[in-house]
Amino acid sequence: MGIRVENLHKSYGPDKVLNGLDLDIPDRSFFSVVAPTGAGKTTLLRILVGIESLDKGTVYYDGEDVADRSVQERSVGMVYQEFVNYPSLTVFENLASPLRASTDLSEEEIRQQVHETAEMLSIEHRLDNLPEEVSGGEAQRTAISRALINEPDYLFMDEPLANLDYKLREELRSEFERLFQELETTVIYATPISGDALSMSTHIGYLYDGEILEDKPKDEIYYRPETLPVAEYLGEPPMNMLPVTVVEEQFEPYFEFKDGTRIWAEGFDLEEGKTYELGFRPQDMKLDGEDGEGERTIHPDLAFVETVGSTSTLHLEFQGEEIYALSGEPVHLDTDTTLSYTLDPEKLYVYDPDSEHLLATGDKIPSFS
Amino acid sequence: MKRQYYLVLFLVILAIPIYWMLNMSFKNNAEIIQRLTFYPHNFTFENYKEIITSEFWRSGYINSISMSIMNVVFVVIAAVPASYAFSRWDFRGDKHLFFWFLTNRMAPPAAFMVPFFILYSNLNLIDTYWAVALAHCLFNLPLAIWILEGFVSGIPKEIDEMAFIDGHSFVSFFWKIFLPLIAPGLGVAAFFAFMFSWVELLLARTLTNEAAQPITVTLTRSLGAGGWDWGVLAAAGVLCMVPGAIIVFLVRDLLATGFSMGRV
Repeated sequence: MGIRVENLHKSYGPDKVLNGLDLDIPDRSFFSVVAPTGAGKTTLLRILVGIESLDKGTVYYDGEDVADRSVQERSVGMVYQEFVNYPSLTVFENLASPLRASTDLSEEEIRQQVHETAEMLSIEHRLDNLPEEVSGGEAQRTAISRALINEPDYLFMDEPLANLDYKLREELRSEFERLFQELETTVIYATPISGDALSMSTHIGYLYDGEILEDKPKDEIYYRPETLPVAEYLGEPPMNMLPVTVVEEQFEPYFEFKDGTRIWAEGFDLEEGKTYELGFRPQDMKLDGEDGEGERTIHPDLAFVETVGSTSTLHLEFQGEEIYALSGEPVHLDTDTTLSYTLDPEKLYVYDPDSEHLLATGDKIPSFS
Repeated sequence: MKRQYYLVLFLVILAIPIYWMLNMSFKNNAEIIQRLTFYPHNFTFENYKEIITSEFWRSGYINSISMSIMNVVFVVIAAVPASYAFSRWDFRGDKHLFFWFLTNRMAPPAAFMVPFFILYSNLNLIDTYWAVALAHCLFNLPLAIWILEGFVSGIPKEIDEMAFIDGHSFVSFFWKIFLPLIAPGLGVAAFFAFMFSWVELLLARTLTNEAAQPITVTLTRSLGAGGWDWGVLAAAGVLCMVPGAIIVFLVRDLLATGFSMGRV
């Protein structure tokens, strides 16, 4: 059930946008396709909806190849980044349009259905306005209502919040969570913002180099990203990643950073003298923590602090690389001071820099298998 | 203040020929020929009466209006799908074709006079509305396509897709959603087509004899037995401008939107 994609290829001229992509979208999930801008999210969505042709590959809806099924026969809704409504029709007529086009409901039933959907998205007071007369947030709510009014099996949203200001985005984000828990629609949501994906989705797929690098339930891909690009993208701020060499001293293994700082690598079975990428989440770093057993402290310089409400993101510089730390309370520190952070060895991630795959994790990282 | 004087002066200079035509249309021939008068000393409606009552003049107007409207209908029917295709679809040579259309307008109607005459003679179309209305398409259609393409391209492609996802068929999308959106463009294109067709002389004269002769041709052929009837000619000229003025007045809002939205 759900949508399955096999070996999808798509090029525009010499540009290979999708390159043998496989994807599995479970039924009734809220599936986020995450990738930086320009990675091909929009193309992927358009192919899945059926408004873009594919070069090679197969798309299955509920296990059925839909190559010969037109858009109208797929039970889909689509919401674009730009607020796409019919400019010459009122909000009411915009919402009524799919019902008029594809059902033979009576005028009374249409009216009722429009009001129900409009109420769900709080645009009832705007039904008599033209799309150009309502605000951006309301225009997008109109577009979403229209996409939902036919109760499609699949709703595709292509960065629907990107053109909204911060406050509206937060508002719609929490509304989406509520809305799609109630509805039985499978949502496919494209976004470059990992925070959006992590807050709303049940599943996340990361699009990278024309392929889905990983697609998994949200917690699984967040707590245990199997590949380096995913680890470096998901999370706000994302995981810190630094090159380390494994050294051994008196039969104890250590991760050694470029400047010679060492962290005790107890419990990791790694090859001595080899270089790895060491990852740790910003929230797992403890300011002025106790050193405890073995060495586990690094000393980065504070570049600047970003405080939003009661939490602060500290931008640190460590060995010429930028890393982040999170603090649950506002931080007031002078910049250019050297801080000391304790890392939890049980929450470390070790990646192979060549294959970019996860090799080992600390004991507190769940394994999901 | 000074600038306004200049503007008024400019307006007066521009309006002189129009005023002179109006002036003449209310005079009798004797006054027109004999001396320079700045207003009709013997004010008369005789000239207008002559035109309205004479079959010769009336048929000229009816012919003109009929073939202009016919031309507008042809142009709109062909230009709407053509502009949609040019705007939405890529096909081999679309850019070249689009430009080539426009170059048609650069050729003088005189260049096409002979081929049209021979072709339509062979097809037995000479002296029919069809002859003129079709010939004018050669000039009006490229312009209309060019204007409308600008309007169509101004409508996001997502609206088309949206309509198909919503379950509209292409026909239903075209009528219910697409056409209302390009209505201002249609107005502008139709306006230009009508105006060209209304004033064009050379092809209209070549392709008609008597039955389908439009008013512009009548104007140049009205040498009566008693020499030129100046007053009647002036009155006919005034009446020639009336449809244009009425149409501009009716579509002025549409034109303003059109000028600001599209490619005019």
